Amino acid sequence: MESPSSSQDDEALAAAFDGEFEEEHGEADDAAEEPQPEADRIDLGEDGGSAGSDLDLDDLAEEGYKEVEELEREAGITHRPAKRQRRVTFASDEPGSPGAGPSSPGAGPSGSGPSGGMAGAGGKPSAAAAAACLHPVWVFGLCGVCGVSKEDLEQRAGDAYGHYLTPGGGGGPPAAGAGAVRLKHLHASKEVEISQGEAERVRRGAVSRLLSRKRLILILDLDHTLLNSVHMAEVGPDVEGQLAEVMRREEEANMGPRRLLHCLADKKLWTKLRPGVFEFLEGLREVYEMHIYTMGDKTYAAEVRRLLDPAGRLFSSVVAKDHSTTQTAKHLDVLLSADELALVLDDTEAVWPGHRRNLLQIERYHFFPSDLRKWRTDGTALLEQGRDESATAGALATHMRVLRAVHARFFSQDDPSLPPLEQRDVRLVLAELKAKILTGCRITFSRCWAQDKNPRSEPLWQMAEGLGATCLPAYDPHETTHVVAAAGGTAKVHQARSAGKAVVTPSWLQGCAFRWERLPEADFPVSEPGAGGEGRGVSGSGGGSGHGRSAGGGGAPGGGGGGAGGGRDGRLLSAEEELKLAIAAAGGGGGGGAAGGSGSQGPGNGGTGGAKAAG
Amino acid sequence: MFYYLRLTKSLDIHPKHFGPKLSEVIREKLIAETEGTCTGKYGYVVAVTRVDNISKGRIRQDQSGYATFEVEYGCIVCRPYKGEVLDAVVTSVNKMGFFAQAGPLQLFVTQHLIPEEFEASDDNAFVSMDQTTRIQAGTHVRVRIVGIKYDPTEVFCIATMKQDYLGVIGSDVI
Repeated sequence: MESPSSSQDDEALAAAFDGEFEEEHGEADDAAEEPQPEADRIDLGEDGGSAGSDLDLDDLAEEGYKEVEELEREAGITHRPAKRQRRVTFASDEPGSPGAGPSSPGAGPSGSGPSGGMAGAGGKPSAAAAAACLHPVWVFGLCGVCGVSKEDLEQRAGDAYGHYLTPGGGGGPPAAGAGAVRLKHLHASKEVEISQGEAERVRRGAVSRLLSRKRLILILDLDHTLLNSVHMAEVGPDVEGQLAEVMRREEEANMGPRRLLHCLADKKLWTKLRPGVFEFLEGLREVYEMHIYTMGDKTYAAEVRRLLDPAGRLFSSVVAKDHSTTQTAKHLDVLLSADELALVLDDTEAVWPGHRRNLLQIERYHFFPSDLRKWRTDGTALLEQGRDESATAGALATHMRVLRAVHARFFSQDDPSLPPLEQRDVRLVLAELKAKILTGCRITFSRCWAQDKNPRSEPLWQMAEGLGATCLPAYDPHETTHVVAAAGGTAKVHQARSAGKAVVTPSWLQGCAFRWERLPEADFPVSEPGAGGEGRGVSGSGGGSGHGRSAGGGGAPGGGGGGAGGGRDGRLLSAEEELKLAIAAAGGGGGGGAAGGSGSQGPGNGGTGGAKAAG
Repeated sequence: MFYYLRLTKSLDIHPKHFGPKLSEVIREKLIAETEGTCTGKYGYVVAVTRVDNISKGRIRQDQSGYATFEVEYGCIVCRPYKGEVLDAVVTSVNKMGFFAQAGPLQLFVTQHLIPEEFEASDDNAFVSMDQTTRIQAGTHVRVRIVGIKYDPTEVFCIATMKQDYLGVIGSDVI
């Protein structure tokens, strides 16, 4: 009771339990002075408002008491004893004990001074803080700095009477500034809302910390990037047999927690981790701050995180669909990180509309046949082929190499051409490295788009330039080194063939982008019209020959072309369809209700995802 | 702060329970309906410890056949107060601050209310300048409540660690 705060507690406590003893002190008050009925009315109002509602009782109580005090001061009355009595009656759990009454008047005058001062002091900080505090952070609907409740603040701002009560408050600043960032992944059920200024402050702190530790940020997608998941219901009996076989082999190999095939029984999912994923994560953890960002739901994300990172040390945060600021796109804003230090590894370009330059696009990992069917009608999944990507030469190993190279380049100290560390941009470094892949190639396109289109806005043209090649609008016998042709039989193809120049399908470009190297042109020959077989089929055989390329060999680069491959072939997916599929697939917890028919099997949001994809 | 309170509650009981086990059913229903709930007035009901008195049932006049019983019971409540000092366990740390839990109460301490000597580190922790003290999941902290919000089943508090005698007091043995 001797510290100010504890006596303040008592005040609040007394107020909190007023309702219990309303009648008793009501009577006592009636017998007392003029202003009291007014105070009573307010007290009652509080009780009505606070019962079961979210109002901050303590604040209300403080306000109520302050008003009473004011009224009392005006009337020149000290009314503390009555309150003391109320508290005492509660504490002793004997409502209206007669003994407390007579004893308190004596203590009253001495007690009233300090405790009145206390109440004033208790009230002031919140009022003053409301005026001075900028409320940079809102957690649980409370300001993270001054603790004032948002509803309370809005109410006070809207209520003229409230203005009168807290002249210092002056309504307070607007509760949620424009452009506030909502972070939902920090807490299981509640979101944290931060103002732009605060977000900027946190971002700056993060940047200087990262630079001083020589680290960059890496955002990882889950489905089709680090793993492949399907619903158990989609897995046929024959596939189940194969899966059991794979599991048995892993058991025999004694891989322990590094097993790649997992059966998540409670989510009814088969999950296959991409070979090399553990090496990938371990190899990059020192130089990258890693985050998971998936379109799956958060329980799925948590489950997968447990598989990838049993010790919980690898990932700084996990962002799931429920946490994202928008439903159809991924955005870096939720991570409060700097765009110029962040790289993204994802299989779908369309979900990163604002961050294409941060993105490393990786070949889709299709392990399960039923999953592959959703994306393409042709080709075979890895399971059907009875093989898997190589852990040491597969897509993840390739990207680990690239990511390490980006990091080394970003922090290289002996290159005078780089700007000072603070001004470096990882996006430029990434583009620079990417442009080395096809340096020296001079590409002419044939049959890749309609002639009336502006070639410079075509995805293939842009991709080729991004890879460092020079694009020529027309075939030049001296300049052109490669002809990229969607179909054979064109004049350019014939000219190039007769001059002994490389003629390749567009899959070659996509393949180079995925593999981060110049692939042998011979693996991507353009077939003559009428021959039936098309680039995909032929390159499929080339890819299957131990390049460690993913499902369907060369078919995957063609199908996974994102915006690039989309419009070229009727059988491939458009960017929008791909986006929908990606969301639906992730929505079901990795390949759930997207099949539409199986929506009833999947969890609730999987079903809606399927409906969305169908519609 | 924890309190032992005696409260009353009206319970509607289905007529199928009107038999020898009626009082047992009422007790179970009381526990199911009160334990784990929150009100702004009493805080979080931790446990119903005993049922003191069950009134005679009054059959509701709405053709449902239900009867209403007034039950007097004793319970333990946890009612946080602004300014109260609590010991809590850190549950998760992020760039903005940390979440902690004190019994049923969930607390958040923003970076603004963590002493300046603690700096965010890149492995989800706050580390003191001299590198001796860390705030990470599992750390025990002593904090003072700054603001409170009640939900139907949870109590949330904003707390500060930036005052005298507040700070890290220990850690879970891992």
